[in-house]
Amino acid sequence: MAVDEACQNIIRHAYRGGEGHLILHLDRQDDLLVIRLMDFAPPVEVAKINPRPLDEVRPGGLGTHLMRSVMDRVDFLPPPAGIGNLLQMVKRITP
Amino acid sequence: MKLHTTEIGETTVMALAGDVDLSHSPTLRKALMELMFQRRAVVVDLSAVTYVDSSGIAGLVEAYQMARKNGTSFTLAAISDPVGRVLRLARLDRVFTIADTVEAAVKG
Repeated sequence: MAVDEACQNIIRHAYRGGEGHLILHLDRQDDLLVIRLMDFAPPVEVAKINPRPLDEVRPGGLGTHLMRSVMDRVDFLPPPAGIGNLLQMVKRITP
Repeated sequence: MKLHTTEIGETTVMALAGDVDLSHSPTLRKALMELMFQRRAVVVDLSAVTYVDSSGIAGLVEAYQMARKNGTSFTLAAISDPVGRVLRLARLDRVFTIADTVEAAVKG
């Protein structure tokens, strides 16, 4: 679910519904599952995709909240090539 | 996603099945909005939904808000475990009117 929501954010907010590539990288580091999603779109304003307060009942803005709910950490990292966006999500899993 | 509607008296029961994700949520939204414009009482049977994402939930929230504005009833019924989990994560389980069964929802 977190990867689904993250990909939707990239499609909607980074590529604005247009075409583009994204790279999904999955890694296990001891008891941590590390998921990285990289795109090559113009950098997104992180503040714009922050989760909304849940006491506001409105249709949008739930995806980021769901990502943060199911993962232990969700962070934007500096993209290695200096272009695009790099999202890292980490989940502690039972070894 | 499969979507099937049945009329029971004044109420339309919309049964959803399968994955309600970004590729199907526009269809769901359109179908719900048509019912809202007709000011129908709506029960959404979620018993056979295997996955729902934020776009599917957004369609349900939009219909809920429109029903409130119209003064019509909008009830989620027979919620499957995957849907219940997402509703709880989004804290929407306390917002929607939820019934255990479709029959109970239709009776009101």
